[in-house]
Amino acid sequence: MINFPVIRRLWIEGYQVFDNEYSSGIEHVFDGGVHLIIGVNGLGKTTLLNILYRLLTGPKDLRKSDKTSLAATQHSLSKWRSTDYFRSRVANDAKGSVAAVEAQFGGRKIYIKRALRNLEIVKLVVDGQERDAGEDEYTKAVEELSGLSSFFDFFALLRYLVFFLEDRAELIWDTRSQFEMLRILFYDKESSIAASTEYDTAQKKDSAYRNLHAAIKERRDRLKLLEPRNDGEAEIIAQFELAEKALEGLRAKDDDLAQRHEDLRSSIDARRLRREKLALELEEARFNYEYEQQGLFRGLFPDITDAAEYVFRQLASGGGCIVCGNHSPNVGAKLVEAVHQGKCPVCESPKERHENIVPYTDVSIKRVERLREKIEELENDINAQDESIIDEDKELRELLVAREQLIEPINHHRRQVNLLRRRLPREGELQETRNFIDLKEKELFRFERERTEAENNYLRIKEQNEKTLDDKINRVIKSFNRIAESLLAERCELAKSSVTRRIGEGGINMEFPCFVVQMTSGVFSRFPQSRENAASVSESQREFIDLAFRMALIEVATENTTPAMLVLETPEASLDSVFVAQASALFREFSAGCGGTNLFLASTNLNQGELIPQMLGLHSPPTSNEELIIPPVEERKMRVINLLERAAPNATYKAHKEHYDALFRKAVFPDLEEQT
Amino acid sequence: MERPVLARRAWLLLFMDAAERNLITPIKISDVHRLVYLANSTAPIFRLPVLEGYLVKNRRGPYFPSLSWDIGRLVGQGLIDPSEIELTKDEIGTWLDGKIQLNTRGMAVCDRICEYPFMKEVSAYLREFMRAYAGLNGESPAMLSDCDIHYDTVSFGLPVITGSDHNLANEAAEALLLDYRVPTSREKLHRYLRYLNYCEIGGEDAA
Repeated sequence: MINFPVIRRLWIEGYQVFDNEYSSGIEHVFDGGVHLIIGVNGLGKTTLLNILYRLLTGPKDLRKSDKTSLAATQHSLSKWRSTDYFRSRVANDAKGSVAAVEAQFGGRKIYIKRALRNLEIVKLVVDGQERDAGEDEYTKAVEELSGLSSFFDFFALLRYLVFFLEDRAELIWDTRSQFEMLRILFYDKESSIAASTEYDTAQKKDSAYRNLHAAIKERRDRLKLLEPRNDGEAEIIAQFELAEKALEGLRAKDDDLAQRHEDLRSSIDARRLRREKLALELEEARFNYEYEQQGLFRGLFPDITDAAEYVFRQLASGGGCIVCGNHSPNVGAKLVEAVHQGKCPVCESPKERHENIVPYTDVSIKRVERLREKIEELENDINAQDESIIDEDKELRELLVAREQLIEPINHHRRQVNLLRRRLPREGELQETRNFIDLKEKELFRFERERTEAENNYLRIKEQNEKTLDDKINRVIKSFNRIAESLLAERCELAKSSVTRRIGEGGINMEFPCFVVQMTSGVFSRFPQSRENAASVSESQREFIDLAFRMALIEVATENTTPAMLVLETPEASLDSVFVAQASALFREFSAGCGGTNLFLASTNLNQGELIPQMLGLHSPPTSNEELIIPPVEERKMRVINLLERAAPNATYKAHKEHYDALFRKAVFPDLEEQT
Repeated sequence: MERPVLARRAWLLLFMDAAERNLITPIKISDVHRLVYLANSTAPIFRLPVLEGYLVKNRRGPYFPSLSWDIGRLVGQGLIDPSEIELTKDEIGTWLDGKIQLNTRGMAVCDRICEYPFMKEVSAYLREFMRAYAGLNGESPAMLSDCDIHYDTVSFGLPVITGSDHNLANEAAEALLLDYRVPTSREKLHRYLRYLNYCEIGGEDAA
């Protein structure tokens, strides 16, 4: 049997929320029974409840994934994300603020003091023996005192059973959470430890299995891309090599053409230069030739016009006929011959027939002939250069055409090569992928094996505890049905059911016992209908169904032999006014359990309602036939933490102090009020 | 290898016409070669193609054998009149020089040529060229052409290439005008010829 934590004493010192001109801090003794934290909005009710909660849990929290379903991942806690919760509510950063509780676990006691700034343990005393003030030591102590298998289980107990705070963490609507709580409460310690260990192992292995499976799948998909190619890999390689060779060949051909192009270009440039030089030389040779002959024409035509002289000079020097445009060097041959033979250049009559007996200017025939030959030579050279230039230019143009024709095939082969190159697997990639898959599949089988082993172990433990659990489940149902009557108008019952699921996402399917809520309604008024989830009931019904479930679990778990505690935040928020008395009676009944050592602690707002007086037992429920025993005033004072007196007053209270004080007196001390 | 003959001769006639209009007439045949060279070299400034962009640098200055033949043909066709045609001998060799001038028949042909829009553009450029040259106070074009960026940078016996792909006249002209605005083609041409004139007068210092 486990021992529930029951807070017996509370101290809060140096915390500005509970500091005013009349008092500093809070000190309260929680003997058995109903205790109330009374205040108005903003005075610190929630903060006080959270102090109590965090004193026991420390700076830990459930993992995000476990908040909707207990132990959805692992039986482990994470760091509390809101460590500035208490210091953010005060101006001095909670420097020097401490809180301490003394809690009972069955017959044993623990004292824990924490700094509110960061929840660091300041002091830890177990059964009067001081221990190292550290979380590890505290965790160990709690496991020891509670009899629970782990601190995770203790945390779950606090969150889902003991403390019913503003966030209303619910158990009843999630079958996984239900079963976890059944394990925590009803398995023996050894089985509980073993079950959660095997459960965690199965989860871990399942997670590892899934991750590795995904990685292997990714490689397999890659292999699918590589393998068909691999079957034709030889062909692809052959194609690739062929395409590369063809491209190389074309490039080589293009290089050759380019080289030839360069050579031709250079040759043409050289020829052109030579030709121009020859042309200049020719000009000069002609001028020389003309010069040698100019005396003749001066003699023949002393007064020839410049234009005519120009024409004759050109003709005589072999420069062609500028009259008709005949550029042939032979066009003046007759004229030249006539001149050389002393004949008349116009009518070709011989020297003896000429009237003019004055000899011509003495022309050196030999020199003229030599010049003539030179001119001919130059003209031949120029012609040869011209012909070569024309031929080379033609060849150059053909080369350009040939190169142009290579462009498309080169591009085509380049594209081909690139395409084939992409299709070739990276060197070794195929083998590498296969190796990876082989290796990882072995690991995958190992994970699967280990998961299955853990699952089988878990199953075995479950089966071992099945009978005990079944008995407990029946008792919980019975308790619930009774408790629910006091909280809900509709007929609300629990029914036994089962759900098949796996521990992780993969693995063996297992059957888990669970509870199903069945309730009547306006529509189904005769027989209760199953309510599968929270959305199928109203908000207030939902809260009280969960509360009833918690109370039923606690009742069965403690069997009234060890004290228990229930902490409830503002129950009036969801409680129908008709049920205030009944619910209050139920809460008082709870607190009267285990010889009156159970503790029911609730925070409540001051209002005109009946809740506070009912909770304190100042009025009897309408249906009760029992004699009303009104607790003495002193006892009531000891059962109430009056935040109107204890907390730093806020604007609401300051503005309506008298009203609220009067309300308080009326709620807690109605008998005194009547007397006055 | 042969440039279109008619285009060449039409260009030459327009050149003679431009010279006539700027009173650079009659013009020495050797000067014609030099000025034809310069006019070709600076044609890209007016975004016109270079008609004769290749010649061999020789000691007598720019000389085009084909131009010599064209001049002869125009004389033979009775479009330009030669005068003082003379062969001379000097330390380099024998050379023919003289003067030529556009006659009235030639002028009439120029008017017909200018009916073609492109040739009209060429005519406008050549007139501007002659105007710029005339503004240099009648200096001989001998050193002008020798100072030209293309001619100056080449050794004797090597080709002087002023074809459009190799032409630097426009860049040279722009470099001479360091205004923070885009100069006109006319400004560039005049500035460039004036610069060549300075080179001729003052040598490196003037540059």
